[in-house]
Amino acid sequence: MTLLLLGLALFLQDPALPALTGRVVDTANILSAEQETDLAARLERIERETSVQIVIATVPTLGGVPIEDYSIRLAEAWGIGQTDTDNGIIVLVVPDDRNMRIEVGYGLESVIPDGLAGRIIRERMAPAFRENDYHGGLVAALEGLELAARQEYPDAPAESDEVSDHGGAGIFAFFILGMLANALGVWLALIGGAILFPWLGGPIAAAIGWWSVPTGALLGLLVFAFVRSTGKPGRWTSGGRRGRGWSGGGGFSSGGGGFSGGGGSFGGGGASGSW
Amino acid sequence: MSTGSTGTKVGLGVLAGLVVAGIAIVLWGVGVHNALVGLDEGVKAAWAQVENAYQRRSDLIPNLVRTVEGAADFERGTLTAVVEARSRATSVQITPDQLTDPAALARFQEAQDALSGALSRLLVVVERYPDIKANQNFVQLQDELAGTENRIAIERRRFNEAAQGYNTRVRRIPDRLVASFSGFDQATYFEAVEGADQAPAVEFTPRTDPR
Repeated sequence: MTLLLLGLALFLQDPALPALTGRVVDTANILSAEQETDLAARLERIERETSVQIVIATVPTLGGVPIEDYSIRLAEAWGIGQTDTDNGIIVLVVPDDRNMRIEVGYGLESVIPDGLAGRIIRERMAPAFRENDYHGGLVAALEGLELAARQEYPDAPAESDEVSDHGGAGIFAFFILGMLANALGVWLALIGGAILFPWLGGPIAAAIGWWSVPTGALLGLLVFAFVRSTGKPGRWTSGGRRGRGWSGGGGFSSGGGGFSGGGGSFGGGGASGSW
Repeated sequence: MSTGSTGTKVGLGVLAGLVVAGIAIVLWGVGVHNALVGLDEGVKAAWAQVENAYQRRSDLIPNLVRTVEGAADFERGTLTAVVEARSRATSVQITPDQLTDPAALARFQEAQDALSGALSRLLVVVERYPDIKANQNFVQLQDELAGTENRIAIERRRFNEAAQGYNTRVRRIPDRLVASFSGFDQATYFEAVEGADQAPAVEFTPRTDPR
């Protein structure tokens, strides 16, 4: 009962969640218009290149509500990050309270553990914020987050790895198919001789049986090539907690209206700090 | 003869009506049962997440103990309290079917809350040791611990929400009939711990007193 009352009390005094108007939601007005545009462009590039969706939000004050509670409510309302990879990040700055938090989605918790998020806050954001350089601090934070995130979403497809993996399997399959084709060829030759000989004559039946061997070999080669071409670039080799493969396709219209979260979920990972 | 055939027709009509009604009831019952199964699985999944979060905290503690131990004449009592509370908390497990048993959940919660208390006391004591506080490893551990406590709180809230959805369905009439027939009991909630809003009291003994 006390829990319900406490929850109700918190709910009543909670500052309202801002609407997701873009990649930078600056309700505390600590950024100029050019700075906002610059940050939004960086965020859009990060999402385009890594599929990680980062949103910057500023709120003047939280009125005593713990930043972690506010942040997770914001994350659940906005649903930043792709649904299947949960790779969203919210950077929350509360200038009047001098508090900040980096909220990390489920899918990124392995590459951006709480300790690293805390370091980004302490080493990149807090020093700049003390000088009232919010833009500089946020740029530094984005650089850090992108570096960390890229371990999970490598740019360069590790095609060579995949090929060598499938190379062994392919050659083996080729070999087996070659043997099968040979056996088939011999069989056909026998049948050809027994059945077709009376009709077509010996040489033709023998020719059919003889040609089945290279045909079988050709079939084996085709299968090998097919198996090799379906090997996907690096993503499967990078494990990660979720271990899902391809990127979410990132289909968001960014810039101006039309930006929305991808439905990613959060579990409370990340770190808070103050300056 | 004619009255007989009319009577038969009425009888057949009533029989057909009963059969249809019976099928309809069975279909409805199956529908409710399946819905309850879905909600019940949701509660179990939420419980698994809660256990995950608590396990995560348990896993952090050995590293924390190692980091703090190294400091010169650190108060052993606080450390051993944490280690003991941790082993007690990890020994109290709950299987998913025990989620309807308030006593089992209370035991689990009590063990975990004891660990929370021991941890807070430890962190308060560490405040007096600047060399530990400056240790990079410790600072990162603090972030991890704070993150874990955050996750615990969130997963508990989500579990309560799942339990609420399930309980509401189980208690409603007429779904209640299907629930009791199929053996669905009410799930228990996580309660707020009494006195959780109070900071832990720590007695500061003079550092010259070796323990």
